[in-house]
Amino acid sequence: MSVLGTLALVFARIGLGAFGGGLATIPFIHFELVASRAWLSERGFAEVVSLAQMTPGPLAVNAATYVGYRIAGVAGASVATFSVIAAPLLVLGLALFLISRASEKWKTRVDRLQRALRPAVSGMLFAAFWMVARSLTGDWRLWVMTAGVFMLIGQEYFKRYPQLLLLIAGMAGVLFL
Amino acid sequence: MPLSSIFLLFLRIGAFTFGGGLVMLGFIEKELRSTARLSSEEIADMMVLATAFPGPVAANMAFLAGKRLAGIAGSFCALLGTVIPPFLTILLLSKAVIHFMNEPWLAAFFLGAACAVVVIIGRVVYSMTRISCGGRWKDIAVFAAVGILLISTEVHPFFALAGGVTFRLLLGEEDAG
Repeated sequence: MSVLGTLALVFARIGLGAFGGGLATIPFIHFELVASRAWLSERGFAEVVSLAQMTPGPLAVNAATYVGYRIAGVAGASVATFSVIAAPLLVLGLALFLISRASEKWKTRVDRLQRALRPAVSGMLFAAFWMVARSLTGDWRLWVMTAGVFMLIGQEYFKRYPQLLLLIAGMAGVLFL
Repeated sequence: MPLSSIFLLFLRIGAFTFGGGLVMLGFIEKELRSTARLSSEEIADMMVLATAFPGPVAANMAFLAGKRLAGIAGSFCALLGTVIPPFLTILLLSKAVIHFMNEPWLAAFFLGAACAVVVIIGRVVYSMTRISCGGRWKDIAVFAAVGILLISTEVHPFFALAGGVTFRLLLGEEDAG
């Protein structure tokens, strides 16, 4: 298959797999791009996550644009971004149509399914946290910086603009690492 | 609401929501209430759908809100507005990132920023998990099972999630008290 076709397919899968949004996409992106395809190294993966957190927009969209561009230029970026958004919207559109005609009995079932989904999504978010944290082991300076961020994040100002913390931590990295 | 205002509203949302996930939902809710004059109940219903279905939450949200405001054409404008800012930002930045890839200071910057990413993600995961599991042992069991499965094996996240939901449904309703 052509590179663009593969990109479209991989990112459609990432989009479809991304329950719970944002962070929940991390394990999917990791699985598709690092574990099964080696399009990104562990380090490259951590870079994508940092870049995505510092720039506007959903993580999955950022990752699609970034990886698509690295692999096949602007065309790759466009194809990957389109497919990470379009594929799940087809499912959502279809589901809306079905729910609008569902009976009361089916509505309760959908409700139960949604409640069962919550703890599972939380477990997945924890795995996402673990995957990013894992890339930081081995250097005590990283531990100190992480602890520093942990103390700063309680401030009201940083709660509202967490991306400032990323910039500060990044600059601390340039100075101390 | 005219299509051009829908586009501009979501362009603003797309350009100013950093960090993704829960941070982003808060901002979207504020904008939808004040600018698009949707009721809190309507917005809450959209949020449940947007998070329960696959795909980036912000894109799903744009699709639903656009549809509510001006039909399918509204969805299209909202989506375009949400995606254009992150797409262009990443395209510009990834060029720079790839260009400076081998510079040690850039690697140090991303490694430093990753410290902040871990803390920010950790906080979100903590608060999400408290809401979705909060002392209910059946939910905690599902949370732990999905987390451990994803961390210790190479299983595809979709199957881990589906397994978790099935497991939760099999455990049955939580006992009162």
